[in-house]
Amino acid sequence: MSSSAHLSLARTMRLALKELREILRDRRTITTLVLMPLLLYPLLGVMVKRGLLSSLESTGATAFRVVVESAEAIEQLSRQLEEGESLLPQESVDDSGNPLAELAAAAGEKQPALKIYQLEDGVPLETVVRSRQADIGVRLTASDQKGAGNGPSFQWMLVHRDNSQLSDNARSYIVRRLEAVNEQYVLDTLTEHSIDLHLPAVITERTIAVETKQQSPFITFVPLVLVLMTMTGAVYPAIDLTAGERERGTMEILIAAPISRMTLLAGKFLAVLVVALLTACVNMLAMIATLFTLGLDGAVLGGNALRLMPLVVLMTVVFAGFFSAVLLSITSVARSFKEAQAYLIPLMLISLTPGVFSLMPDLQMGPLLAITPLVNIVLAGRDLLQGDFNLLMFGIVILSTACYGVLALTLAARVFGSDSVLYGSSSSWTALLKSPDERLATAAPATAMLALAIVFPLFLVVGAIPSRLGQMFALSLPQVLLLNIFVFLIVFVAVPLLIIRLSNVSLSSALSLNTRVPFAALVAALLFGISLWPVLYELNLVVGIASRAESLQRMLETLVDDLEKTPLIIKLTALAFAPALCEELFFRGFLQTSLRQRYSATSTIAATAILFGLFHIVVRDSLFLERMIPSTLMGIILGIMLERSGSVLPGMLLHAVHNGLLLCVVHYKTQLEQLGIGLEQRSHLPPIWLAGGIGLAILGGLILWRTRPVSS
Amino acid sequence: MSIIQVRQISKRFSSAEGEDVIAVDRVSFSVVSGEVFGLLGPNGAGKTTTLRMMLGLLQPSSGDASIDGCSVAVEPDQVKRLVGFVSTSVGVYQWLTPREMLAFVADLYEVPPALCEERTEQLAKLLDFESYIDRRCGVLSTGQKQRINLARALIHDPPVMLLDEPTRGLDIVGSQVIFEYIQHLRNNGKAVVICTHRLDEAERFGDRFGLMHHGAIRLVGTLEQLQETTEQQGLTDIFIQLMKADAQESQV
Repeated sequence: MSSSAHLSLARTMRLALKELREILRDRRTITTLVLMPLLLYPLLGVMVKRGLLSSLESTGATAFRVVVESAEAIEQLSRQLEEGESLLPQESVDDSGNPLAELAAAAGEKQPALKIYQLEDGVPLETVVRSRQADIGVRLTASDQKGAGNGPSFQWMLVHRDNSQLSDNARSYIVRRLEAVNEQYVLDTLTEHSIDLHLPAVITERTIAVETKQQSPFITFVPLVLVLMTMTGAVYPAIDLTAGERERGTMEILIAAPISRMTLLAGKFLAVLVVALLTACVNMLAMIATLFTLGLDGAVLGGNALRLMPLVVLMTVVFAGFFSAVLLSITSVARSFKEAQAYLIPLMLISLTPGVFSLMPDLQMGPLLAITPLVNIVLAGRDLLQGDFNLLMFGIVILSTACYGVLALTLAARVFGSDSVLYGSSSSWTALLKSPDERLATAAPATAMLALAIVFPLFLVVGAIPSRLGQMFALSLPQVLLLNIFVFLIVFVAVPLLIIRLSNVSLSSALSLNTRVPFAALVAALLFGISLWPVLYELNLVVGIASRAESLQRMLETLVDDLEKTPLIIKLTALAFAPALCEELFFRGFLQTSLRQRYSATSTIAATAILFGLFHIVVRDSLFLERMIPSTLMGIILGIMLERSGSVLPGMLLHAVHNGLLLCVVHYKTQLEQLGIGLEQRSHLPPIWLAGGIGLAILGGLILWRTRPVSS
Repeated sequence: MSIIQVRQISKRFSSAEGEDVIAVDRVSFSVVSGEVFGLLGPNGAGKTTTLRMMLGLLQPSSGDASIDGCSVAVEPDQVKRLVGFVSTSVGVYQWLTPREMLAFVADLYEVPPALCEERTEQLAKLLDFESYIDRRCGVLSTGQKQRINLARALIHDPPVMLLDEPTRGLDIVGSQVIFEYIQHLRNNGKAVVICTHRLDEAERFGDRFGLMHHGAIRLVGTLEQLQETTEQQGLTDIFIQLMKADAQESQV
């Protein structure tokens, strides 16, 4: 194995630094990176503010325009309204939760207020109201300055439009104040005549401020704007570092050097990612600064937005990573800047479509949308900003996006610097899709990553099918369990087998299906299989968050009755043997064997174990992060097992014994309870069990440590 | 013992019309250390394709090439370490200085930084680019860029050099730099293969020549051997005779 085959992190970083140095010295990048956001956001901010203020005006949140026909009417109406205002109880509603009210207050419009105008002579009041020049007209139809009782009396006719919220609000405003004046008059008159007032129904009001879900339509634009601006930042460097290299003639320098294409692409990817993130950061800062300066932060982002910023940043990192990889995969195909731009324009247009999804408030994030590229990110961004997101969906979005990124990058590495791109030979294009002529011993790491990128979303989609079918056709648990076996076979066996076939790789060596297994490895596998479950059980108790564990338990409780009735052989086949066979074939056999040819044993085992752990945190429709640690630990042991034995078979034995034993314990729990061992109450195991488990595990570890693969 | 060995190497392409085109047809030759081998022929003869296959940039359809015993098909990375490659089609990084560019390429070949600095100074003296070693490559003239490229190919001190049309687009001064460079390579015991269609120039620097036409090597030998075989004086005359013979053959 040549040293250049290693994907050295330090070397990748040095490559990325060189690329960054080149990119950042180019003034065109700086223009896109800094000047665009600085110009764009203040302009957008001003437009948004105008839009918000006009929407406030349309509901009368700022000031009502009232027309009257005479100076006397102005004087008397103003006086009576002022009097009414002073009589109305002072509302103690806290408007701080209402961003629109805050915005209006900041704009100097103490809401609501009246502006009373006198009509010009000869202009009918009705015409002015109908033509929307005024929100309401008030006609003084009769006045009695002396008044029959305590003071003068006036008759007002209110002229307002039907089907107009604004006009109706103005009417209510005036009526409420004039009625207050009338009520006060009645009260004074009754008091004057010494009539004790006992109303049959006494009403008092109390308004409670309720925090409502942010309804600002502008918030849905934020993810879209971020997506577009991140893309803008990444496009130029992605083209420059791929098609640009080809055009300038520097690609030959790279391809003639003893360095793997994946390392080259990884360096380029890091550089594009950094620029994309820098662009996103500058944009976010410019956006936030603009919103604060214009006092729009509350109205556009809502109260929770700033607290959710870390998650928004995480989303941006994932998106930038995804998009950088996709851009590189597309621009790697291009032979010139012009060609790359031609390829990217459709992509940019396609990227706008998911943006439209984010503008649809009724569109809810579901499993399918959570794995739909781009749409999932925009929707997750929208939900995050609205403070309304589901952790499971969020996790699926992040993981599926990461998978698509890896897929794009492996494709880019395959195309970058190939004959067809470097010298434009058409024959090589078809060769890219053909399986290699020479039979290979193991699949290339890039091929394994491709398989992983396919398997993960497939696992999420196909994995949900058995329980769905179970609900739809009222299937029994054994039937659902048997369907689960097919899922395992499709996801973890069929996909890698197909890829191995297409890559012309020898099946037995690609999957480490070595039948010459050291006897000591089988003994160690058996010992681990017997001993690990008490250790992992206790670990689960330690790391498991009680409430989450309970929800998992509740979820499983619904199955417990059915599970008890299911024959043990079906349970063992579906939940012990099938996972042992299929997961070991994929994770250890395929992934680990393939990655091991390029990376060290430690990093390969760690990476495979983490991936194994990640697959185990998805349980039905929930995300159980606490399962990550025990599953990863199990993955590490299974990984070492393969490394030491040279075969996937001992791992399968370990996995099957471990799962099988757990199932047997649950199946025979009544008998165990009779022996005084209860496992349902989440109580700790008897110390002797734990000590025995640890002891056997150590013995297994010692045996494994001394085991070496059987030399061929 | 030949450090470069090319054995029956061929390359076939499919044309746009779907026809099978043989770009290189069973080409074989070998070069020893300290020897300059000129691979000569008109445009489209298959010289550059042969060179690219020797370096592993293109996969041969059949045959093999080896450098210092390493097969390009089996140990492509090892072959790349042993070869320096110069071509006028190879560009420079516009936004890096020559010093930065040489450091970057040295890193690709895993040359330690201290050794890289030492070699950069030596090459800057040899190729006379000390005055602009810290200027951005984008502002350099064509000749200056060519010097940087010549230095770039030598930064990892390979025993084998492949030069593809090294004087194309260069003026007299630029071409003279190339001739001196080739002399330097010969003096330092490098095995050199130069592809060119400039037969007059080739006579000046080549020790041995392989004349290519229609993808195949038609004649191999020193100038004296070729003169003896063809009874012609210069390489140009030899080649014209070769093409005439080919034309007559195809008519028959």
